[in-house]
Amino acid sequence: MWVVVGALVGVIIGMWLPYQIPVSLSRYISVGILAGLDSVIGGTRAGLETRFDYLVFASGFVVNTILAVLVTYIGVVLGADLYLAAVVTFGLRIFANLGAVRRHLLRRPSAHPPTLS
Amino acid sequence: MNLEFTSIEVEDAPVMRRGDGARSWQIPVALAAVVLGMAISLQFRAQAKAPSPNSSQRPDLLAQLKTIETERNRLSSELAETRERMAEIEKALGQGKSLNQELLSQFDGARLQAGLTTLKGPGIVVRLSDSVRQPGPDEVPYDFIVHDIDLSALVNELWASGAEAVEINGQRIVARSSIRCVGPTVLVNTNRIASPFIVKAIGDVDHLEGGLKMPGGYLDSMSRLTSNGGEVVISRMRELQIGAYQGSLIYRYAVPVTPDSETEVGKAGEQ
Repeated sequence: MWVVVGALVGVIIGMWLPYQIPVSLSRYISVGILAGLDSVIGGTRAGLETRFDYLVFASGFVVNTILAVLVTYIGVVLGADLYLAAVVTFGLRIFANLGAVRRHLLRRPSAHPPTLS
Repeated sequence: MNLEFTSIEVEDAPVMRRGDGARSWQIPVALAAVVLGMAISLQFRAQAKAPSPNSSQRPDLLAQLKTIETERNRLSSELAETRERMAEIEKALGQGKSLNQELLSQFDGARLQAGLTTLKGPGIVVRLSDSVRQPGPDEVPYDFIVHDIDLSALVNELWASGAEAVEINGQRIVARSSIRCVGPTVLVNTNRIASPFIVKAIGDVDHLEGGLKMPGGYLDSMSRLTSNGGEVVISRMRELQIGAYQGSLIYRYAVPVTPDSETEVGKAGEQ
């Protein structure tokens, strides 16, 4: 529950912030958002599976986001859509983790939980 | 039913136990979620703002266009009134002496030349319209609509074929008329017109039609439109009417050159 509340609080803070993201950076931010979403959902899953590790979570959140943005930047420099790699990877993981979270919340943990991390 | 119920009861115990340590993982994840939510809403705002610089100006420009157009309509009706008064005065003059009558006929000739009179005579009507079909993914949208250039080329061809008066959607084409493209519409004499375009021309019907239907001529060049569902239809008319030019004919910069002033200008240029 705290996770959902935190996300809502973040959205509200973001709406009130006077700072504007330049449009040129919006691609990086969107990949970063995807990485952050992956970390948050992955962390929720780990927490529900009682194997949450603060260091793993925090480092994953920071490193994954930076890496995703970096890959996107390299893609822009090289003229290849490398950000797709980040989008696909995080997309798959988000769905896998969200599936596990959903099963936990329904109290029907899968016998073979999908792991993509 | 009963079985399922009990199974949930049994599973509740470990969940409750997990709930004790919930804060240990929920707080860092919630903090991350706060950051994530901020990024999402900031990004959302950036995306929502992004296309605005152009579109936010549009209502302004539209309003400006509206006021300018009403102003133009007012002025053109004023102009029509003034021309009517002028005609009355000329008529009154004509009732006088033969010299006045001579002047009057000269006036009429000048007005005819300037396109300020409504004319009738034999001619052709060309109807051009955009394609009703939507361009497919591998088709060029440009080939589905009538462009200002098409109208301009048509008018040029009609003059070349001996047209004595030309009109597009009620806009008389005169010496200083312009035809150009503004967004989805075409401006003729600064009036906005849109498809279907009805171009009327008075002149020798056979010449006018032949000029357009000449091999490799105008009609052939319009095949890019007609092959995509657009229309270019030529009809011969025994009699058609073309209205007078409504716009302004005021010259603000150009001054007629008489033999005297010509030498003056020449001297000024040498100095």
